[in-house]
Amino acid sequence: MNNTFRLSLTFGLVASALLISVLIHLTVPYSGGWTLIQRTLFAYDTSNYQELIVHMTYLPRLTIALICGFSLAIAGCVMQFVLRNPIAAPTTLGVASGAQLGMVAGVLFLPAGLALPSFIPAFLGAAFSSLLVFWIAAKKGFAPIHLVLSGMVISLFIGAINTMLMLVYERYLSSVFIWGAGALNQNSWESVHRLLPLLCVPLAGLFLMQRPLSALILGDSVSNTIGVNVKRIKLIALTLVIFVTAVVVSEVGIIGFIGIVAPGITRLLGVRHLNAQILISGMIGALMLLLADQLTQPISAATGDLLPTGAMTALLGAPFLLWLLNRQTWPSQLRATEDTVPDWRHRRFIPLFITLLIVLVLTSLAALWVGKDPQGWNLLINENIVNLRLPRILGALFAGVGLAIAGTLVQRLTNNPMASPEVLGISSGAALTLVICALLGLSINRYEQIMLGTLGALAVTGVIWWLGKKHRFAPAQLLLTGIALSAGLDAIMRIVMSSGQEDVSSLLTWLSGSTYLVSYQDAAILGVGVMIFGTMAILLHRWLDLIALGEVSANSVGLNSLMVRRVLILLIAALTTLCTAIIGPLTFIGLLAPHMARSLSQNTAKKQLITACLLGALVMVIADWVGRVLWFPWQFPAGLLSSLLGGAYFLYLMRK
Amino acid sequence: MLLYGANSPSTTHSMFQLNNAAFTVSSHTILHPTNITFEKGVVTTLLGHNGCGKSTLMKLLSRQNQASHGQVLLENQAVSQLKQKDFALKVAYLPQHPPITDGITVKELVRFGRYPWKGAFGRYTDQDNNLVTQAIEKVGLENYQDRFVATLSGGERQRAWVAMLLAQQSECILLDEPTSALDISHQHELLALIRELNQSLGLTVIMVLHDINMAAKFSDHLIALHSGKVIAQGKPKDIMKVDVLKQIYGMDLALFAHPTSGHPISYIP
Repeated sequence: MNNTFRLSLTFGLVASALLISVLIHLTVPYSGGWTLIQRTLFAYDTSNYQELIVHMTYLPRLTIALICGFSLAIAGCVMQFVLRNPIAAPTTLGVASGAQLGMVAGVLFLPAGLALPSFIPAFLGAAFSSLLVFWIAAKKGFAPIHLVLSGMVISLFIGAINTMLMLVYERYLSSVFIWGAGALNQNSWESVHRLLPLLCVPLAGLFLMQRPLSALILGDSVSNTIGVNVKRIKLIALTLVIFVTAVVVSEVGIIGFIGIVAPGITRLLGVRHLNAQILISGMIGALMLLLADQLTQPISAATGDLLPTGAMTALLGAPFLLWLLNRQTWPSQLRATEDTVPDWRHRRFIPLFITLLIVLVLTSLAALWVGKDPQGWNLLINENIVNLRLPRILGALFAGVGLAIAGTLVQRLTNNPMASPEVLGISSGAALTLVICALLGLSINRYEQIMLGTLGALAVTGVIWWLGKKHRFAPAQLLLTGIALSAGLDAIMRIVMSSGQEDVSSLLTWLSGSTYLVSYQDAAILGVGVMIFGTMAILLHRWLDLIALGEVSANSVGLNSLMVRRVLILLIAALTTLCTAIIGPLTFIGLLAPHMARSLSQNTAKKQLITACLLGALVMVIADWVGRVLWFPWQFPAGLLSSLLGGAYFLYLMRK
Repeated sequence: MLLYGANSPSTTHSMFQLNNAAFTVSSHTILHPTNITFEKGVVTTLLGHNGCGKSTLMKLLSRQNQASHGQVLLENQAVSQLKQKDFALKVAYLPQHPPITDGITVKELVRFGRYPWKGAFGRYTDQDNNLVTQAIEKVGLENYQDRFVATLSGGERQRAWVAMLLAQQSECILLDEPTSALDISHQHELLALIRELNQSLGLTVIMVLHDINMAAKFSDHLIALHSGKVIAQGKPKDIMKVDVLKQIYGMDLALFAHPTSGHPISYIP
């Protein structure tokens, strides 16, 4: 680490501390500035309403920001240390979304009379999701990228469950929207009083554990030989971290990026010892959240909307994370650490192909004819019904094909079976543009919606391209960039969603992957596009086989890896954009279909692609049909259902 | 003989030539300016202890790294100017740890070697299929054609990769420590195979080996590096001398004559 760099970073910290004090001066209610705070602190007069307001809302808010920032940064720091993974954090590993699920479930299913503190269901939810993530990642020996990807997948999965609950229990959960985005507003010291003891104990525990924790840096086997019970230490540390996260989430909602970025800055400052790292991360985290909150307050005041601070941290944190990732070099060749003897089998392709095709045709016909009306099940073969149902079935089918191809390409390109188009952030980009348009009050029709979505997806592709250039589109870099991007975009989306505007909330169904807006024309556009790009992908199957050998060997047989990666990224972007624009961003098909094809022993690129297409189409058609009849007369979006089906199957598959 | 019949007759005698080629990473010189020539049809082995620069040299030859100074020439043409496919037609490279190949059978792997000839869309003809079959027979894996590479033993896996290099029909193969993962009998088997291919097909071989005795037995030419510089090169009998070995490895090694062949064998006294 060079000195000028460290100096400029230190300068940055001092500057931000000054900035914060200026901001505080500006954001104090009634333009009272520091003098009002001073008066409130040292000569508190309850009869003065200004001082009362400062005392009851402003100061608790500052304190909450400091406490939460401090705790989240420490949680992130310890997590990164224990997992030896520079981008592990409560939010990237799905802990936060698990806590959210726990809260939502608590609100819905616990008897109202039961006065249970809210951090308990949050902790249970967080523990549940972390267990899932670790359970999946353990199979690959907790390899850094694998761990983050499984965190991402679990986050998406739990996010889908959350959305589903919100759709079903809309009336009960409207407050969860705002809360879920991390709002720091206070109206008394109650939260501070609740948080302090709950956080002090685990944080003190983490500090006390620093000596055995430091020994972990030697690696598991060595640490064991010097008398440290590695498993127990890791388990205790992670439990404490999850508890801290759950407490914070249950009080203020999900606040992302502090847990990644603060420890990252600490390491950049050259802090080596764990003790110092924990402490300094905590302080930087506290400063960061305070800064974000101070920046949020004026905007909130100006627009009159309740703007959650968690969203602001994402705005500040995502670019920083991208920059951080860009500084670090990651191995271009991902090697699986698996030692188990794989169970490879041969399965003939043609019979499988024919079987799947027949099943797909039959299912589509069933979806077309079988439905539900107020009297119950019925079988209808008439033109009107067909005209209603055919476009959406075709839309679902083509989207399934397109996403399956995009998923196979992503997995082959990054050499990672956990990657999917959603993870690259392209679909989040499309979603975000639409949500922002809705926020700005532009009422747009279906075609403008598709065009704008495409623009957003292209913009994200541009960013991925620009960031990837430096590392020659190395797989690991590509994945991490995508993860950071999509996490950032999702957070911004949450800000906008929390504004609670009518136009925006009506987008919720599209956001969860609905097919019922699909017209014949949409289906035709999608179909033609998917045909063109899909054919290209299948024609390029030799590239896909070779690129999986890794850069060195692929180059050695004459493949121009750089060019191939570029072409594949463009294909992935085109397919994802098409499917997202028509049916929305949320499905697991891109992750699922290539996997299912492999588990049916179709390993070479051409066979995998074709099998995945059929499977993707099949799952989407089924999801669309089930979404139509399950909750009649309402509808579940097909994307949401396929996410649930897909996520569950995926969990099973990853551990099989 | 179908294998290697397709290549045009060579016009020069040198395969690779290094003209003052050097490699530095952030002001740290890993390979000092070096001039070496690698002859065609010859087995050349690079020697030296860890960190002497031999892997770097291999990476310069296989175009994984670019020389910071000077030039690396392949048949009098700078390697950086060749297209990936054209380079692959001349030179094939086997990394020290071949990548893990999920769900690829031996036959499919060997077919990858035909890519530089056919590209992404070219049809595989009977000739290509024959070449693939021949390459598999050459390495003795006929009975394993449809097995998945991941299920083979270390030695078999290594041979499958060599078969892929053979199907590639390049004139030169680069092997980075091809024996590092193998037991002694498989080491011998693989090196004997490579030697046989060199003699029967005129294949140029450049490899890195750690075992000096194996290197001397199976090579025509040895090049020894130390701290990024070539310190000795020559025929095995010129290198297998007490003072030269001491220079290369920095320790005392003694020699005795092989009881049957009479070639010098080194040992730690």
